[in-house]
Amino acid sequence: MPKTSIIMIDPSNVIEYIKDSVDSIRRFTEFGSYELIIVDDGRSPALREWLLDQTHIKSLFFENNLTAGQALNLAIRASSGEHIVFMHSDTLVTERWLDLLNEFVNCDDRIASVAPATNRNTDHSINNAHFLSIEEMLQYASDLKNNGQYKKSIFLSSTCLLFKKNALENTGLFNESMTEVACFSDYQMRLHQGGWKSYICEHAFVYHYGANESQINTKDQILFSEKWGFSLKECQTGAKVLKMIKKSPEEAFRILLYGVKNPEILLILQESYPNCLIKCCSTQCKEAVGTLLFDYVWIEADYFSKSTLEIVKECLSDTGELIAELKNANSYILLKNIILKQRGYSAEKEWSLEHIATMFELAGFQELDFDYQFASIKEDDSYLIGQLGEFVETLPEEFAIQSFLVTARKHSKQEQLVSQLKELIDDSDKELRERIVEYGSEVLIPIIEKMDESAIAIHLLNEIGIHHLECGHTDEVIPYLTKAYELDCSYIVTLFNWAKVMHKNGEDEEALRWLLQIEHKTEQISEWIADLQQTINHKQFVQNKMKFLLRRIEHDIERQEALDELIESLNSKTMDLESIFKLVQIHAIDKIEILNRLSVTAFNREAYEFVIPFLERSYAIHPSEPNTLFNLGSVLSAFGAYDEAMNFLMQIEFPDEEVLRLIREIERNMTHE
Amino acid sequence: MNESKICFITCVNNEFVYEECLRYIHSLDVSEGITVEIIAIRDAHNMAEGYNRAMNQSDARYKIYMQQEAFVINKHFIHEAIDLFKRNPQLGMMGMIGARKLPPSGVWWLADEKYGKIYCDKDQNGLQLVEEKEVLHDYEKVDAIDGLAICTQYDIPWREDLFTTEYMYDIAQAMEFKRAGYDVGIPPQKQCWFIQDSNPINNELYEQQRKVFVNEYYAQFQPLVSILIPTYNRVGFLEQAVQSVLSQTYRNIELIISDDSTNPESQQMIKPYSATDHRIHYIKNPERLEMKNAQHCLDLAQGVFIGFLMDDDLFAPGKVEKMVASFLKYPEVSLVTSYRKLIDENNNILEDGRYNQQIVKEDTLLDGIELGDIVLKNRNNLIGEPTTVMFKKVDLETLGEFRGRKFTMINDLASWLVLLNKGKTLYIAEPLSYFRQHSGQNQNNLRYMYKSIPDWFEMIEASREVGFLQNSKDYQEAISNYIRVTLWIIQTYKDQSQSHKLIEADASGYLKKAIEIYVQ
Repeated sequence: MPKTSIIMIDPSNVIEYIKDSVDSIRRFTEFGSYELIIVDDGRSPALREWLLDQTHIKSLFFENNLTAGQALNLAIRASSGEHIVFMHSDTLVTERWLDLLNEFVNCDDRIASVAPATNRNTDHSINNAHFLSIEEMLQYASDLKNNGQYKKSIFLSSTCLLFKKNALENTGLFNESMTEVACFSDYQMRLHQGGWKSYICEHAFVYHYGANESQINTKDQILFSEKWGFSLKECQTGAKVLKMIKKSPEEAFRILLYGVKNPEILLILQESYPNCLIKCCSTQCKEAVGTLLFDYVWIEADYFSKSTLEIVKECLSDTGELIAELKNANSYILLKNIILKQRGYSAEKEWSLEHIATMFELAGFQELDFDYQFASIKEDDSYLIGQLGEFVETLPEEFAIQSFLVTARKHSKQEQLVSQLKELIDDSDKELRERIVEYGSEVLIPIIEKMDESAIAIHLLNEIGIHHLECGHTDEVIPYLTKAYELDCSYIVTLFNWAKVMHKNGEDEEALRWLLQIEHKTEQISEWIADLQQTINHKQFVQNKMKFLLRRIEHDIERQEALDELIESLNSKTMDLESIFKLVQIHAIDKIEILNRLSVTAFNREAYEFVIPFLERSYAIHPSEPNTLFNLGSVLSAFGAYDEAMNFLMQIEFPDEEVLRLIREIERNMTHE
Repeated sequence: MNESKICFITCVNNEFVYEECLRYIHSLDVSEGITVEIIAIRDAHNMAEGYNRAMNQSDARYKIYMQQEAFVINKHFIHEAIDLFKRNPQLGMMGMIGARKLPPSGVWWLADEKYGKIYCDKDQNGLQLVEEKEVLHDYEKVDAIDGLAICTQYDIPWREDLFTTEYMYDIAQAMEFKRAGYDVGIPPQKQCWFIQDSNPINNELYEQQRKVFVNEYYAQFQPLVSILIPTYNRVGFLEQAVQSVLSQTYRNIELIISDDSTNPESQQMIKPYSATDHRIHYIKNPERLEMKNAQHCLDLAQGVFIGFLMDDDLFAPGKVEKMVASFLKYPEVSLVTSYRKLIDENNNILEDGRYNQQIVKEDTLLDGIELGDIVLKNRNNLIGEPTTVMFKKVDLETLGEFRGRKFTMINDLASWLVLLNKGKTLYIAEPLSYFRQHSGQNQNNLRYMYKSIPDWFEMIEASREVGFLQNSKDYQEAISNYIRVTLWIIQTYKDQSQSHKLIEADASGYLKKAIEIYVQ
């Protein structure tokens, strides 16, 4: 195992965090397999004092502030490991964390970096996990080891990040003019360009307090955008696009990303939908995509304008959806920026709700859905909002909304649905059916009911109902078939399908009832009726047989044979205990007597698994019945459970000689032990 | 006949169940010298036919006719049954459960007094003990028994000519045994003798067989009811009235028509009816009896229960059956009446008037005196017209007479007061008769109205002698209403310049007496 250098460049002011961090590393990382390097720029004397006492930490002391890039480069130079882990100093690691990361990064020469799952990953499947205790967190981490996934990515969180030393040597130094987030993002873009791969390895998990998150400053943003052609914020687009796509992973469809430069979005989409065709373009749309029509078009916020809307509309298929993020003109953020003179108001960059609706309508879109994107309000912002609130009576409702995620369709969903349904009549295509049933019965049934001919409606209701049945969603079938039956109570297909549903639910009597309603029975139906009748009769026969056996036991008709036969039917699994209990419950006169006899027979026939259940049931009916108590006592003592046996025997109110003898015997056995 | 032989007879269509049934028979104790024979009829057209075949085939003195779903669990059944029969040669037939008196409908389980017990196992509901009255001596004499297991010591043919299904053949056989002069009984059972797996009833078939049964045996279990029609020159309405009697669900009826007509039309009309239905007794009065015609009918009546039918009114088809069932159910009842509808000449139903308001919303037992008080207080005959009411023959001999005085205007009420004084009244909330209104008919006809002045006063006074209007407030109210109506009658006659009628009725004298009572 190559040696790993763990580097912390942001020692926290709160010394407890760093102590916890270091403790967790010591606890969960094999001694001697790593070195710990902490870069201290002298902002906290207490920390320096503590570091001076730590003999196994390689501390790099500096007297002046360093940029993240400088600190990283210095630490790398001082490191001796083949793998370098950058870690925030308020992070707790978990069992085998480093082994898991090392194993993974070594499995492919082209992997440059790997990050574990953390509790604060927002873009990925583990969302802000909260834990009540460290133990709970560790349990969660240990569960992940078996369930986690690998995900290809570009921008990995710098909370905890492992690099191969040779990848770093190959790529060069960190940019020393940037702060942490931008510095890492910049470096990761460089790795990506160099053909290196990066992964999130969710098998490993670290817990991040997130005490001193560094902010992205404007200078970094400008530097980054100038260099890479897209903003750092665009890194969030991927998750939003994913959320809007309503397709199954294997489905083939087309998506156009307008104004997207961030290569990671493509990567995420391609990973999630391997069969989807992705095109990116900005202004020269037609040239880039030609006459292709798309199922989804995404417009990146900074590229949205009226003219863009008109251009991309041409690329959208009839059933396609256009998704755009539009900044809210009434957001407090905008107001704040104006007040702070960070920027002015621009009618082409921010939009009000009404404005958006009109604009899309004029562009020829028929249906819009809005998804509000709320900004997390920071402390000083809420103070600002509070102060503003005192000037005006009520703040606009959309004040806290940062942007609107708008989904637009050229045709209303209902129109689309009707044409899809008509298509389904002509050609029963499985994929089309799947797309249609997505709408759910509450949407579909009223639309189908209004179709021109009731014969068509009934046909569709049956087709969709049966689709659900074939998918195993029996409950979903009912509303469709109920409606179909309501429209025509003698239509053979509806009746037949009802029978199918009931049969699948195990209700053969009901299935038969539906089939018998069919007026002109085909040969197939008649055969099925005969089959069902036979099944029902057989079931009835078994039930009756068991009832008769119970009755014979009760009335002493060939009693022992009947008892033996009943226990044998349990042994051979022709009957189960619950069914026997039910039969006893409803068909027997003296239930306790029968249950006790059954128990004794089971014991004698060495069918031990049934002995206690029979007695328990009898005990439940009448807890003080002495015969049950005695049988419980003697059976349990035969099984060696003397305490339990005594417990039951002691409940016998008037013990006879036999009971007392058993008690004495058990007591003898207990003292012998 | 082999006196020491018992034969178990079963019509079989389910071998699996019958095989089980046999296990129980084979497990029975058999006394020394007794031979057990078992006969299964596998191709029976119906129960009665199958039983007949087996009966003729076996020489056993004792025969047990058992349904295949019947399981005998009393191990001593054989000798207990034989001993019982030997001790009681008049006992022809025994069953496990039955009804002492068969209700008019012929549905035995609707009877009030039932005897015996069985375990009944319905698949969904499970096993239930059906337990009726305990039999405390050798056997309880009953009208009807359930066919689950029928024991006999004499052979009487089963009525396969009438009962072609699995229904009613059993009750019919009980009737046949009684016709032959034997007793039908339920033995005492400390523990249940039989378990029965019961099958659902086919209502349509049952109903059809029930009608056949009632038609054949009504005289044996339905008390005779006399329906009395006094008639006068109304052949059209009379024919409708007669038809409404003949279509009664209750069969044991004698219909007495006493005809006062001055033309032969009614007589002609009735001929074809009486020729085919022996229950009709038609009498053409040589001289008109007028007011006495109703009494004439009553004198001729042989029935236990009496119901009048005015020649222009109609009965609802279930009227007699419901009313007789009520009398049988409540022995303390002396008068049964019901809600009734008003109809016009074309049988269209009219809106309810003051006289036929529904008193209560469901069948209710009313105290005779209390009901009488209400009628007397409000001067409103809530009880109804003769067509509506039914009573026991023994309770009323003379119509329109109360406390020795004849009433003309309120003769119905006079009869009803006699009956109210003898017991309770049952009011049936369902409309059971139709009271015809004729256009131009005026209840407050000036020709007779004055006669109500003495009638009502005498009735109020006489009623107090037998226990009506004992509460002084009720009495005051009755008198106050009497004064009010009498004043109105006086005014009406004065307005019509007919004051002489008032003098004839001694209006001033009665009014004076009433006011004196009221002032005290």
